[in-house]
Amino acid sequence: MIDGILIALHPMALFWTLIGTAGGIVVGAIPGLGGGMLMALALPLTFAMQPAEAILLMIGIHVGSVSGGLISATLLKMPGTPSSVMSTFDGYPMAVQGKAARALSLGIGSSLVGGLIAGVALIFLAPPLSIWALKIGPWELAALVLTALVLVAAIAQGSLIKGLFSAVLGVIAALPGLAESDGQMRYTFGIDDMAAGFRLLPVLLGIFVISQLLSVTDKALQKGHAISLGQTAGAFPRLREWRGHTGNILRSSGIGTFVGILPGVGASISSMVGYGVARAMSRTPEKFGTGHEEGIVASEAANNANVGGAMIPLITLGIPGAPVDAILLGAMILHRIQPGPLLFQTNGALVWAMMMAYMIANVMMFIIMIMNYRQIARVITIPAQFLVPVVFVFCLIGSYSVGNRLFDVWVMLGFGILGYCLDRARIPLGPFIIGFVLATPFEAELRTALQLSDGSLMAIVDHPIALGLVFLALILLVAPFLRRRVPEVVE
Amino acid sequence: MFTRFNPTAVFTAALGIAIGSVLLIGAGDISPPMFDPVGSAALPRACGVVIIALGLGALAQSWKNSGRPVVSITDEAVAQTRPATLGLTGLMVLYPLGMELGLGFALSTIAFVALSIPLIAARWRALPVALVVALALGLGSQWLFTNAFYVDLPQFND
Repeated sequence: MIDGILIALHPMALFWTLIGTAGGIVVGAIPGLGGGMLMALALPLTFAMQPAEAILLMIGIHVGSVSGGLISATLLKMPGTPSSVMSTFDGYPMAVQGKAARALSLGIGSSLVGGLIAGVALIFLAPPLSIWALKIGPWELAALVLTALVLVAAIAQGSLIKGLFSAVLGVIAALPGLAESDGQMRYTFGIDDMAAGFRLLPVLLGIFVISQLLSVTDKALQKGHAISLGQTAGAFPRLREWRGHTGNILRSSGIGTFVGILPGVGASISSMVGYGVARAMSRTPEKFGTGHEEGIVASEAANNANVGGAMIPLITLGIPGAPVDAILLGAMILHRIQPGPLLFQTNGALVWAMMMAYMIANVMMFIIMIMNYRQIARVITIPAQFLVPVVFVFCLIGSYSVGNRLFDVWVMLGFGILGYCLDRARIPLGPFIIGFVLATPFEAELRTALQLSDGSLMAIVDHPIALGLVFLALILLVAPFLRRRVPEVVE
Repeated sequence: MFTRFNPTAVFTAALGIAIGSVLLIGAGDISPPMFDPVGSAALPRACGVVIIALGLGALAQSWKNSGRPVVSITDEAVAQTRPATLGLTGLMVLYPLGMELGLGFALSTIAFVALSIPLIAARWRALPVALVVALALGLGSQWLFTNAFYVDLPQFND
């Protein structure tokens, strides 16, 4: 633990955490971009870095981007990231009423508290969970991954069928190339470059970034009108004003942390649940959506707490707690750090460094945003016609640098077009990337489990945890069809 | 009859059937298992069946929901695909194609950026500014990534 803290406090580590946090805030503030995009873009740049520094950079970006979305949500009514959608409901009305600076101050402070509470949960829950995780075998791991895939699909926005479709599509994208278990070549179609399958980085860049660039181009001519920040002096709430929000912040932070622990669930769900509960428990629920401080506090505390909560299953089980964590998982794999139950044993110092860096990044986020939100607000109006080509050039360089071959660029482009089409068809992209990342460990664990049981699926009965997880997956699959019919949400 | 189907559901079904069919046909080329009871064809076959079923399920859901009162999931309207987006996609394809044909990274980048900026802005008067940005980005990133990050970017072939 001490080694880990020293790693995180090393000047170079602090530098990269700061760079990541600042970059994440700026990118998170620009509508259409997001932390996932910057993390994916930064991945190839980390090849020459120390693994610990690379991971801390990614964590900084992740923390910064979730918070940065607040700025455009409040000033433009356009959430910089999906997790800031709920912040537009009360942040923008507050800005219209001339209280933009106060709205931002409340959001930034709530983000800090939410992040720190999740960090404490991360520090206290991760070690015992990792010990428990060592006791589980291939049946349990396969069942856990399956449940994670179903949960991701069930909770993703849109219908369950489309969520599952996206998750299975992601699994399919991981099939081509050499099968890990027995070295069989699958679906290479005679193309030599396909022997290694589709590499993680081009797929990530395509699905997360290229598809988004095309969507941004669709909206390029729609101009948002940013509201002026106005006077900022005295906008930061006093301590006694914060006391009035204590219950809301603590509750929303707890919700965000818990939702984040659920594999595959992102910060946007956390903020929706946090906001909904805050409204239900408020003495003035009718004021939500009209510029109510409680709304912005709940949303921002929950979405930042989600980041820390999501790191718990990532560190202890190697399962991304949120779709963007799949990129963090990819970064660890690229730097030859094997995430999973053995991570505390093989790289204990790095794990503690990650947890420490997460706490540090939250503090850095607070300082950067409180001191610079006026300057950051200017960035959000960069025209799309400059943003899109520049980002694409960096994506191309990133994909090319993976293997020094244009094949990976074509892969990125192909998945980018696919991602755009899926997005237009209202098929969520989060389950796709989680399916892609988890497909290989799922198949490996399942085949190992079946080898041990001589091919008998009934052996799962001897593994109650695995059986329970499979039942949970079945419940998640069946529940939407058993719910009492209300006016249905359709595409 | 087809007006009862949501276009997105038709797309989902078509994609599912196409990919599922490829998986099921391709699974026949994978050797049977030798050392484990499952083999490498099991997961592809399972995925093929599931994705076809899900595609058809999306179609069935669309049929069932047609004519019902609709509640929009979000208030934000889905933007229509602009012709510029299709044009940009074409440029994105031509960009690496130019490198395949020997134009090199710098020239391909300059051409891509110079054409994309006015296309996205829908203002061809932006071309001079676009050229300046394109030259800076093309030559600058070639130098930066080749000399500072040691990425071996494609060079111009005579």
